[in-house]
Amino acid sequence: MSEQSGIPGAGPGGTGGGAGTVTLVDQGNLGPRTAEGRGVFGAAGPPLRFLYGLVSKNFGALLLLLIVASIFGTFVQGGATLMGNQIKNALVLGAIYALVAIGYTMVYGIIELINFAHGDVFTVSGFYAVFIANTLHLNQLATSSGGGLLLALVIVFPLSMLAAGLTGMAIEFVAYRRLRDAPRLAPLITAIGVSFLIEGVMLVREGPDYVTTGQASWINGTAFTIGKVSIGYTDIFVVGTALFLMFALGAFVQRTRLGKAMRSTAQDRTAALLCGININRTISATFFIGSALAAAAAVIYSINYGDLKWNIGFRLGIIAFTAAVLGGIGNIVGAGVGGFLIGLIYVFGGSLLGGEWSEALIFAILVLILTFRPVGLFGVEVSTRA
Amino acid sequence: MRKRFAAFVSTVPPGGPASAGTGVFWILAATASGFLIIGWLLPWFVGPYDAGVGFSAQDALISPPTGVGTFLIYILAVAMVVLLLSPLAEVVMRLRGRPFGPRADRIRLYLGLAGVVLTGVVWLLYRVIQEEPLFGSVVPGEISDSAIWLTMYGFALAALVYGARKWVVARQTLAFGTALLPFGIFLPLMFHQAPDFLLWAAGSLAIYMLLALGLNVVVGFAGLLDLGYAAFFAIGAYACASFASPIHNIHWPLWILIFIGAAIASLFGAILGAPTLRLRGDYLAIVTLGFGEIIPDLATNNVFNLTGGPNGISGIDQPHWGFMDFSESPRWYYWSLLLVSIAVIILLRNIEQARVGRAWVALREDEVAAAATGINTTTTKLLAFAIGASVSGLAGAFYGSLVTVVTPDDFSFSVSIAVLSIVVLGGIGNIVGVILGAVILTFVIFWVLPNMDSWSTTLSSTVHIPALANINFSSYTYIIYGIALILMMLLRPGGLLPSRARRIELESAEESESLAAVQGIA
Amino acid sequence: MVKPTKGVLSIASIAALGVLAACGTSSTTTSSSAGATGIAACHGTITVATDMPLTGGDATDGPFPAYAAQLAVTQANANKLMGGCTLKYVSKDDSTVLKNGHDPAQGAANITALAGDPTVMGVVGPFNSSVALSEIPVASRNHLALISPANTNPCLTAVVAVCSDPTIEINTASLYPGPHTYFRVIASDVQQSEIDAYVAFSVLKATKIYVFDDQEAYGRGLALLFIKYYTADGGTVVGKASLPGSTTTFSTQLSNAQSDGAKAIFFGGTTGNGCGLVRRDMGSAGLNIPLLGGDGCEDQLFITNANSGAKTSEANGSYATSAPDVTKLASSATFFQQYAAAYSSLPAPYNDGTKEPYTAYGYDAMNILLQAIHNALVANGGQPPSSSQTFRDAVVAQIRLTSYDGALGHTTFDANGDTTNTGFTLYEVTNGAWVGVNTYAVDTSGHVSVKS
Repeated sequence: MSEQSGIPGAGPGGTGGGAGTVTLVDQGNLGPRTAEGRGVFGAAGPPLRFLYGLVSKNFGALLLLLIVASIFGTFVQGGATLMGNQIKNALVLGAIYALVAIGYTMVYGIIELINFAHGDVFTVSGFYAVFIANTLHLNQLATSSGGGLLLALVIVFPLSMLAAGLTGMAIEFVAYRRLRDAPRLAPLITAIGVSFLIEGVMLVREGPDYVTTGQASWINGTAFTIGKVSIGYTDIFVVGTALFLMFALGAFVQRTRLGKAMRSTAQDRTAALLCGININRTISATFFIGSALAAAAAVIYSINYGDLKWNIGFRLGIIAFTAAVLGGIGNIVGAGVGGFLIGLIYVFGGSLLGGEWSEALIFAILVLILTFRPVGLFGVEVSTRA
Repeated sequence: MRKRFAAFVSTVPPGGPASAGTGVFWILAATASGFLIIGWLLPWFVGPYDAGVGFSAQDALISPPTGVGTFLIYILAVAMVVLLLSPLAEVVMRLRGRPFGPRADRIRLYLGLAGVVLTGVVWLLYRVIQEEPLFGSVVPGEISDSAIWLTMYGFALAALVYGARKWVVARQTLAFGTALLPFGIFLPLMFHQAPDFLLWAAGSLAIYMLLALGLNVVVGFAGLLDLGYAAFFAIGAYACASFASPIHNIHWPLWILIFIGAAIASLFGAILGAPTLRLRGDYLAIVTLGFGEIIPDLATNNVFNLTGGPNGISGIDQPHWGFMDFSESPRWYYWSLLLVSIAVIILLRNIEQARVGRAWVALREDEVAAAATGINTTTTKLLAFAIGASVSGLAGAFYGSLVTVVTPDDFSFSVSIAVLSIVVLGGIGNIVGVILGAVILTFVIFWVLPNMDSWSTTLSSTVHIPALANINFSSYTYIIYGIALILMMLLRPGGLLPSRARRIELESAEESESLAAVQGIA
Repeated sequence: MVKPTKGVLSIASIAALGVLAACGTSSTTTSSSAGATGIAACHGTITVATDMPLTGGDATDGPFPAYAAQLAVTQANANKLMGGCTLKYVSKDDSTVLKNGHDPAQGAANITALAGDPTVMGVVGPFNSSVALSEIPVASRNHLALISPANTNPCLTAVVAVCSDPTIEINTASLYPGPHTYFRVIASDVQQSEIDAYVAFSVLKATKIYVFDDQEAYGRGLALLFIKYYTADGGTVVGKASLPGSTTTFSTQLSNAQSDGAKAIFFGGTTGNGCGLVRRDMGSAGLNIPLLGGDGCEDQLFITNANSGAKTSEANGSYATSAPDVTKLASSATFFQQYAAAYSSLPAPYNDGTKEPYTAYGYDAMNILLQAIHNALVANGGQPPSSSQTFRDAVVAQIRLTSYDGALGHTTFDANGDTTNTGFTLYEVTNGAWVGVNTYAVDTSGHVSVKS
């Protein structure tokens, strides 16, 4: 799954219709081939197409240029301190986005479904972690000593990841399995329905306001200072854990049998079936792992910020999905990189333009990337015309 | 002449050719029954003197029959019960394999007609001849007009449905329109004792219906998943508000605004649709979602100083057309909205059956094949967006003048999802289905859900289960909504009234699904 | 079909009618003793209502003034304030599922429904300024009195300079197509922001400040007014940030504030939209400067949110201005006791009126309305006027003449419908709770002075 993103038939492809239709991909063409059919872009065709191709092929470079420019702009705005602080903020935010984005990208790669409920799985696993921490008195354990902290982390991470994974598997089994080959609208609506359901449950159980998780006090203190920018242990923990999990997942997908099964199912479901892979089990495992990663992200979030609210997942999920698309949907490395890039865009865009434009900027990036380079930064254009 | 009338009135053998296509029949039958029961018990739903509806016919039966009026009401009650239970009875009999024959239909037709006449007589008796108490303990003049007329309408509808069953099945949309249009037109007169609030509710319903019809063009006709439809609504509403409020000191009348709103919204529909031309399926959905988030953001941030920031545009003019001052009497607002809605429905129906509509069908089924047959996919898609957006531009014009303030909060993702739910619930691609979905969902969201708390309290004190009163239903709305969406998609993905194409698609999908199951893929 | 015994049956039915009338469901007649005069002979139904957001994101705010208003009605009924007339209370909810909280469209629909009921003589509400924008025109058109316990946006009653700011854009005149029937028992943000500016510049001694707002009508208005008065006082606004209520982290903006050398942070907005989170993030960023907020920040939730970060006592040292501490007034002490007694069976926090700053406002607003209705009845010889519009006009006229002493102190209204009982208290979080420091008043020339 990490060699190429352009899974034939799984990129911006897949028309509606029953299971029998063949899905074709049309990447790299701007409208019908024949001269009469050019329609709106008729006369402006060639130069527009050239410009389009230019942007499309160099999208990554352009984006990077933009980010570097905004970092430099921040330097001009407030000196090295501000730049350093914002880089720190961006990396912390980006790490969380990256973990959530990977969950999105894995699920989309394998069953071509945007799992709208993924962001809410993130939130609900945060609440699982709170429950676990409160029941097992982990808050006291973690703040007592370094060893206690380690023990608390070792307990809370796997437990909440397990709980979240089971939730993800349950969602797939109940809501998505039957609709695997239905017209595209059905699983999309179902995903939105699951999202509402989970949000509703959290709203009833936890209330409409922010809930203090009590985990922000687990890790604190400044690790070291670069100039005037102080890097705390929490920041290192967040970024470090995210990177560790991403590499662990990458290794898993590359080296294990289940990972290979996931990759092949994503590539061609029928062929995988012919090779004897149990499709249902593989898909369930994908959901499990994706949700587990979201849980890890939620625990990190809770340790960093200290509170959760029932509706933060959806917003965060859409932004994480933008990261996944940016990196190349179906591509795990791409999702990880995309997450950090989105973090950078969010923070530096907000710093330069004002906080009210951060989200609009992210969605603008989403529209731009889907217009100019739908396969994403790490995707490979696959042409299927003879 | 008589033969034609007989043919018109005669019925198809029940359970005849395809059971498909009788959806509207059942809906109308259920509506007739609904009108009858609501008319009979109206104040039980609304509360006496709440919204000024007075007493119902039911209350006239508190004491033993004493007047002509009460006696008539007893007869009406019998007729009503028969017609009320008849859809149920029909279902039961069909399941047992012994469906009703044409004679049963004729009986019900005559019952319905008799009901209409008798209800009219009852109304005359208590409105015109008020000398003696004709209705038991209820003082004449306090009985609700609305209840009487609802009941009368219910009888008439039942007569139509059972008397002209064949026609209803054959000409669904026309039957639906004919059956409910008079109700829509006379609604303000029927509920003249509680005008403002009811017309407000009906107006909101009409606006959501328009939105759903517009989205139906994009999602249902052309098959383009749109998750950010509220953006077009926002553009239409803001555009019209800008031209009829103190913000730029322009005050144009409503009938110009309608066209302006539609034009500007359709322009933006094409603009926002342009980036999506190369995208399919989920990607299209995500881009539209992105736009759905960007547009309200732009409005909040007061882009180009046009939108008035988070407070939006307030003080929007209430329309007045010469002698018809909308602010004095909301009836004219309601009727113009109704007129516009009907025009839109007819237009959309015609577009659906025109060349563009067929191009949309081709596009929806297989885009590459459509392009191969010479359809300009670009223009076709852009038209879908433009036309869909123009309808929401219309809705925006009416929305602004109804609420007099337009804020960015009014166009959040929840609104997009609500409109999408209406389309999905009602029947994707089916105009009648979408209208039905709008009625049901508006009813549920704006009336059932907010009142569930007080109903459960009343119920708990009636049946003496105190625990019932403590359930805070309003906090369960998200859960209920989510479960409803999931169940809908799992059990009936085509919607309540699937369009013909969708029905065929789903049936073939089921076949290929079982094939796939054999192959072990799915 | 004529019954031969019609005559007998008619007499019997009339007798039955008389018997049943006594226990009928009709609410138009109550027992009226012939010969009683004045208000005791009043017959008819008078309805008062509240319109508050009761569910969704506003569920922790709206119900308090509603319950307090209901208490006022219960007490009025016990005291037979309306004499022989029946006094009814209706509670309307202007929140919807779609908005997960207050919805201006729903508010307008509620007022329309209430105005359509000829027995409704006044409404206490709304809670949110954005809802007021859609409700005031409807109330004005129907001559219906509308008293708000919590709207602080100044443009709702009078035109001030900020109303034409492109991000506020409220045309006050267009809100009143009919007579001016809108009042409020809480001071507007003009006074609050003047006091905030004074506090920031002269009390907290912060010459440079960074301003947040939560992109909503109330917060935006407060922030803009604050900036205006703060710069007039001589301070410098080093930066502004306008962030939506869904923002979960403010670290980016705080880094900017830090780098710009801000000496204090001002937050215009509500706790629900992040006031406490800003404080939490200030702790994480190591920003040891004061945070000043408006009345939207002065609640328990702020403290909870601010303490949820790594520093669990971060809330200490935060400042906010809010309505004067009514728990300190003798008159309000009685009210809170009565509230606690009446609502002891409600789930927490609704059983404690002090948990929300606007509870007493709802109480006084409803009492003022009831008093005005009573006075209108007395002025009309103890009977309600035959036309509901005349009655409503009379009620509005009486509200204008209000001189009322209640839980909030002494309230009168000026020509615009604003209360003359201005004054805001500066609160500081000490040991995990909001404690009043000083109460300030501002006169018409903008001079702020300590009141008590």
